[in-house]
Amino acid sequence: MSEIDKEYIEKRVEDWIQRVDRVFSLVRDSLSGNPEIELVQNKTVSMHEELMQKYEVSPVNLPVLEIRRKSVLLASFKPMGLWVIGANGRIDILTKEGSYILVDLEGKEKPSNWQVYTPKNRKNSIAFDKEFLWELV
Amino acid sequence: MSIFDELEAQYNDIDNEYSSIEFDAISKGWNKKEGKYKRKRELNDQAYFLFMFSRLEDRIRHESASLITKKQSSISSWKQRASWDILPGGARDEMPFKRRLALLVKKGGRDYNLVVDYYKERNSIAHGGSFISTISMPNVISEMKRLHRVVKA
Repeated sequence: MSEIDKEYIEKRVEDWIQRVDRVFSLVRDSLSGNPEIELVQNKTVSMHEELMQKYEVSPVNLPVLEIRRKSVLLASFKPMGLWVIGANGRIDILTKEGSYILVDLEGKEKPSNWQVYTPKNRKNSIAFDKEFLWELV
Repeated sequence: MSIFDELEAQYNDIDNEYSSIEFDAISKGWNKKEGKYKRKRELNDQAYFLFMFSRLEDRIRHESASLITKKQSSISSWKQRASWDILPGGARDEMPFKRRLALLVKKGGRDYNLVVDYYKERNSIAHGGSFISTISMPNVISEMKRLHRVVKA
């Protein structure tokens, strides 16, 4: 494990920004064939977690991605945090039915393994992939 | 149905209800209401986390006390029993929580470290702060249930 210092925290934050971007790219690529769907990315959430404050790493803004159909909001993807107990990052997908909780179960030294807990089934997660996104919209 | 299952069902109902209201506020551009319900969800996470951790903590206290009394009464050689005789036999007796935990799971192992992480979060919330790390409640709930089964005398 790397030594924890300011540089390490900055690298983790940079990696988190890239992983969020890859999640949003998957959403775009998966839904691009649907002419009714519009993807809007004009909001941000601020990230300044405990370890960033401790090592004096400046806050960063992360994008929020919204899925709309004919201008009606279907889902809002909000990055919630990088340092998650039991996971390596969490993004909430807010919908009319409740929240889907998206967590990366790898992504530190291995490739990401994004899993979703749905509002109806919080006991067992499912893979976050193209099929899931088609179901979502 | 275990207490964890009951709490899990209740937690999920409330979180989904708040999420739905937060979503409605986003779709209408009501930023203040969106922030209000985001905060409500955070507080709900903290409340249920504390509630569930208190159940796990209680189990660790009782199981560690049970192990100590079992050893005190079953080891006949005073030399081998001596290290157990100096430990308190009651679940409410004074003994640091992490020492109790180390009697039940391998110190420094995955389960030990996970409970210690939860304990730090519990202390942060209980002393007026909020979560040190972000919590994913579905993961936490399934781990709490598993740990509750794992920690036994």
